[in-house]
Amino acid sequence: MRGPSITVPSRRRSNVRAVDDGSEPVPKETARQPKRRRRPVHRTTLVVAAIGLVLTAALSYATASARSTNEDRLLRQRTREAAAVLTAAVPGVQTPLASALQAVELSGDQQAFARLLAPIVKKGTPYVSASLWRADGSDLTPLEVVGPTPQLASRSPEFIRSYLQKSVATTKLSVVGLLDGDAPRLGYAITTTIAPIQYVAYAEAALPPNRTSVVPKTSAFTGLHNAVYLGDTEDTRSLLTASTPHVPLRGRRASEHVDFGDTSLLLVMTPDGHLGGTLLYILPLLVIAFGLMTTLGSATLTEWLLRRRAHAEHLSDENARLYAAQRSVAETLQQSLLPSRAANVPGVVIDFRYVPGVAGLDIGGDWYDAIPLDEGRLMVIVGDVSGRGLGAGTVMASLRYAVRAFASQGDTPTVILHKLNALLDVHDDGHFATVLCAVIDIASHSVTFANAGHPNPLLIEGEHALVIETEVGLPIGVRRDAEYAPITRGVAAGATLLMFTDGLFERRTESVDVGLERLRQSASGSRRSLADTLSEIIDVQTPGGGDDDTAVVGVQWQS
Amino acid sequence: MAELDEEGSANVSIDVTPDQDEIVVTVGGELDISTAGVLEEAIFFDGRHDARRMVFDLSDVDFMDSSGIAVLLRAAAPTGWVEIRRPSTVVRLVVEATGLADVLRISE
Repeated sequence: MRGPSITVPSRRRSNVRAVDDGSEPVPKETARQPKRRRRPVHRTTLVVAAIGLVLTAALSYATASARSTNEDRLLRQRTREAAAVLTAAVPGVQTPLASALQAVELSGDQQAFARLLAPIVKKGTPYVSASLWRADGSDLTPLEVVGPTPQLASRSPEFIRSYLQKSVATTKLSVVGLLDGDAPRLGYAITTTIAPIQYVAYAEAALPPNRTSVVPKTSAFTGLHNAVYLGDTEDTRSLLTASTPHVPLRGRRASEHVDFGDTSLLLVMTPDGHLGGTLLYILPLLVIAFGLMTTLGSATLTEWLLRRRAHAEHLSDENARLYAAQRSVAETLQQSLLPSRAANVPGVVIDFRYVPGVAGLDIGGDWYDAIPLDEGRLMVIVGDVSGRGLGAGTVMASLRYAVRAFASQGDTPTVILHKLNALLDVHDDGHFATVLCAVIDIASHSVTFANAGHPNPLLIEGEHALVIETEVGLPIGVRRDAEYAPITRGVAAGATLLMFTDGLFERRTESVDVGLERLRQSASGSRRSLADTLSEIIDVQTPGGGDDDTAVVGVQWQS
Repeated sequence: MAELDEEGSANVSIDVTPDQDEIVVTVGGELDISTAGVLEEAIFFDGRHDARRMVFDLSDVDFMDSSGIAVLLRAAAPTGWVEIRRPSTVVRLVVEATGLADVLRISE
């Protein structure tokens, strides 16, 4: 037994530790080690990862598609802008030639042609050579030449005729065609219609060497490759100019037609780089990277949570198992401290019941005993040590065996209680005990009781149960000078004596009076066997197990 | 004055008020095996338990078992008895049934 002040709190703490600390490290060590080696990934994790990958793929595809659409839209827009620039440039080509021809037409002065066009030709743009021809039926001869001799003049008369004939048929600026050679030229022609003499004004524009031109940084063509063809088709032979030697242009492309005299120009453009900017270009890649990271993260998190849960479940199972094991230890210990079967005493039937409290993990302090004495007498004892746990169990065991020793020496109930009182002190041991001690004279149907603070016994005679009022003295271990007085009473033939601990009638939710009266009622009634009576009382009083431990001893006279 | 409310003692309230010649301990709630230790700690661990008489106000105790009685009995050690002031019916019945009226003296 332990010293006074420390006993209860320290025991209380150790109880807590037994459940919390004691249970946790054990499963940690035994369970984790073998499991961690080859635990397959949970199916849920794989599903999460798959969903993540699908979402990532879908999102990056959508982003790439949106980017592509955007690039197309931007390219079309830029191509339209470039076409507008080209369109705006057409009059610059047409007007000087048309003006010069008109001057000749109105004045009849062929010199006017040279005067007007000389400064333009000298500059080299838009023409490098201009000439005035007279169309007399099928005969075509140059009247005036400004600048170097047109390349056209070096061709055969048939070629010249068919070449210029195109312009005679129309009043528009006639683009008569490309002249190949060391320095390729593009020829235009305009024909008068109202004058009696039909003049043809002809000019040649120089095409850039290799037909490749450098695009000015600030123009509408910036960031784009372009190719301009004469006519409607993308024919390399009719290429006028391109910003790159690699024609025809490949990849993402857009085209526009621009009216140019009696024909048209075909503008083809392709982006040099990314029109929408670099960020838009790498956005799908960013989406993929982000999606993969998110997928990896969520799959890892899922797996972690699943494993945490599995571990927690395992711990919970382990705790339940430990709880059951501890409870089973307590019950085993309790059973070993209590009589396993009733003594066989002629003239009476003896039986007992013990019901552990539902909340209790610990051994309880309730006990009972039936000790045959000489001369047809029987001692019956019921006791209850305060508190629970090993301390209470130890006190209970020592009191029980002390009673057996005192009984064998022939001590009366009163003496036994006095002697027990000397063995226990609540101030030193932390426990006290209530004890009801009875000596039964079987043949003479009389019982002598001594009571140390214990609930009074119940006597069933015929169909009636009644409480036997005893002299209730101080519980064992409260005070050295405690006094106990015996009380003797006779019982009827076939009577049943019940001695029990307070667990049989005490409930937290009701007054003990109510519980005691219910006990009396359930004990009353038609005569039954002792075993049936005890079972019925236990069922009524502690349905599903009581709050506290319950011990009952019954003695039934057979006659 | 001390207000104790430790883990595992949610069902009890304990208030210790040392006075000139007595120490008044007011307890409310359930005084059982799980809370008796808290009461014991409040009485004995703070050095309050001296020659002064202990008075227990148990008017708000709903339930008391043998563990609770054991603490009261130990508090009675110096003088041989303690005063139980205004006990609830539950406390009164337990004290009377266990024959402890002389040690746990009831006063109104």
